[in-house]
Amino acid sequence: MNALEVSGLTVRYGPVVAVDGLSLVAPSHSMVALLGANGAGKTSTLRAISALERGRSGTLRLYGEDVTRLKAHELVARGLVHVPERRRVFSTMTVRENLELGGYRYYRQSSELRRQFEATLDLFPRLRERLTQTAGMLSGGEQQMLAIGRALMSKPKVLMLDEPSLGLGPQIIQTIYKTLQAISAQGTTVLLVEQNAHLALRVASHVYVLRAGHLVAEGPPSEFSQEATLAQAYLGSDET
Amino acid sequence: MAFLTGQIVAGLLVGAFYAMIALGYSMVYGIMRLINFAHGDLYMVGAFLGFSLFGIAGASSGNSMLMSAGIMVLVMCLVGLLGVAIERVAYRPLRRAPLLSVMITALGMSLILENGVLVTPGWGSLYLVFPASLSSRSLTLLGYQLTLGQLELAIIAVVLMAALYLFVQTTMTGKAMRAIAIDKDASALMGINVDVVIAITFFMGAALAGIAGVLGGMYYGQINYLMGFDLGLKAFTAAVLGGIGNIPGAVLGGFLLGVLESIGGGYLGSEWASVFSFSILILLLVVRPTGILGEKLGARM
Ligand SMILES: Nc1ncnc2c1ncn2[C@@H]1O[C@H](COP(=O)(O)OP(=O)(O)OP(=O)(O)O)[C@@H](O)[C@H]1O
Ligand SMILES: [Mg+2]
Repeated sequence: MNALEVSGLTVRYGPVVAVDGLSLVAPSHSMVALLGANGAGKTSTLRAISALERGRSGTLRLYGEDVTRLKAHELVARGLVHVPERRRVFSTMTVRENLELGGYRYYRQSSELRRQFEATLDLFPRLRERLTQTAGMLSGGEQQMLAIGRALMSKPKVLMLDEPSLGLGPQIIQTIYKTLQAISAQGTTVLLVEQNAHLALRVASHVYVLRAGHLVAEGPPSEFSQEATLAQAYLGSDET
Repeated sequence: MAFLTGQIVAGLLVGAFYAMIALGYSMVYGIMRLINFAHGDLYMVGAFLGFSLFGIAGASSGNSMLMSAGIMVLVMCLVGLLGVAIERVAYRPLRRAPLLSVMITALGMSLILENGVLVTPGWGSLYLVFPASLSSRSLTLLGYQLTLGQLELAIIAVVLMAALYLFVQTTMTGKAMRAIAIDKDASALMGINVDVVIAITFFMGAALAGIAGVLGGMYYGQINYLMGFDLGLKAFTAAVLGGIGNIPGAVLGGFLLGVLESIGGGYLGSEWASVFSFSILILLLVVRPTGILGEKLGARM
C-alpha cells in the first residue's frame, strides 16, 4: 500500500514553473528521498503537498484516499506532517510550548499529549534539559531536534523533512539521521528532501532526483552509488 | 501635589479605555501585521448598542448591577461577532494582498461603520445622551476623591485585560495565537486552523472594544458616531507607545498615555491634551519606533 501518492504535481509562482508534473510514491513504511540541486523545486514540492502553496495542481492521495482538497491543518490531522526547511521553530516561545503546539491536534486529550511528550523527549533527551528555554536560544542542531520532535508530537503516519542536515555539523547530522532511522523503523513513512545526496543515499529505500522542476531519475539507491551517475542526474548530461 | 495625584488618577481612568482598545489593535497587528483602522469604530458601535439596550431595558437609574452586567456581556458578544464578520468579508480575502490595499480597506471599513451608525434610525443624531451612568457615590482613595463608578470601571478594565493576558499565555488557543504571530505557515503545519484562530483573535479584540464603548458611554454620558475615531487614534498611539504586537505593552502604553495626557492637559489646559498625545506619538516614532517593550515594527508598516 502506498502511504503517499503524488501525481502530476505542478507548482507555479506567477510565471515561474517551479515544479512541472511531478509524480512520486512513498510506499507504507518506506524511507523515500527526493534529491536535487539548489532551486530544483524540492521545497516547493513539499510545500505544495502540505497545501501551503496556492498555485498548484495535481492530485494527492494518502493511503489511497484523495486528500487533494484538504487544508494544511486537516492534512496534519490525517497524519501527514512536514518539518519545514530552516526548521521554523517558534523562536520566542519555550521549547515546551513548541512541543505542545506540535501536539495541537491532541490538545483536548491530555493523556495522549503527555504520552507523546514523554516519547518525544525520550527520543531527544537534550530537549528535556531545555524545556523552559526559548527555542531561539537553542543551537542549530537542537533547533532541528525540536523541529522534528514537534512534528512527532502529532503521531505522524507520514513524515516529510526538508533538508534536516542544513547548516549542521557532521556530528549532529549523524545523531539526527540515526533518529530518523529509528523513527522509520517504528513504522513511520518518511519522505526526505536533501541536497546532500550522500547522506540520503545511505538511508533511503528509494530515490527520486529533481532538476529544474522535472523528475530526471529514480531508482533504488544502489543505482546512484557511483559518483558519475549522481552528478549526471543532478547536473544533466547535456552539459558542455 | 494633590493636583498632580488627581491628574494621575484621572489619567489612569482614561488610560484604562486606551488600554482596552489598544489591546485589540495590538493583537490584530501581532497576528496579521494589519493596522485595523476600523477598530476604534467598534468601540463606537459598542456604545450605540449599549445605548439601545439600556434604552430598551429602561435602566436610567443604573441601580441594577445585574442588568448592566448582562448588557455589557451581550454587547461584548455582538461587537465580537461584528469583528469576526469584518475580518471574514474585508480582511481575509486580502491576506496576501499588498499592504496599501489592506490599509485602504481598513479605512473604508471605518467609514462604513461610522456612516452605517449615522443612518441607523434612532442612532443618527449628532449627540445622544447615554441612558445609563456609572454610580456617582463618592469615595476617597489615597487622598483622592473619586466615584464608585470610576472605580468599577477601572476594576472591570483591569480584570478583563488580566483575563485576556492569562488566556493568551496559558491556553492552547492563546499559544496558537502567539505561534501564528510568529509564523503562519509553520503554525498551519502544527495542525492549527489558522483562520479560526485569527477569527477568535478578532472576536476578543472587538469584544473588548465593545464593552469599552458601553463603559465610555456611561463614563462620558454622551455618545456620537465619530467618537471612535479620536479614541482609536489615541489607542493606536498607546499600542505603538508600549510596542505594538505586544499585549503587556499595549496595556502599559494605554495607562501611560492616559496619565501623560492628563498631566499635560492639566498644566496646559485640556484642549491641549490631544496635541500632547500625538506629539508623543511623533516623538516616539522618531526616537524609539519599537515602543517601550519593543517588538520590531514590521517592514510592512
Ligand atoms: N515564493 C516564491 N516566489 C517565486 N519563486 C519561488 C518562490 N519559492 C521558490 N521559487 C522558485 O522556485 C524554484 C524552486 O525553488 P525551491 O525552493 O522549491 O527549490 P529547492 O529545491 O528547495 O532549493 P534549495 O535546495 O535551495 O532549498 C526556484 O527557482 C525558486 O527561485
Ligand atoms: Mg529548499
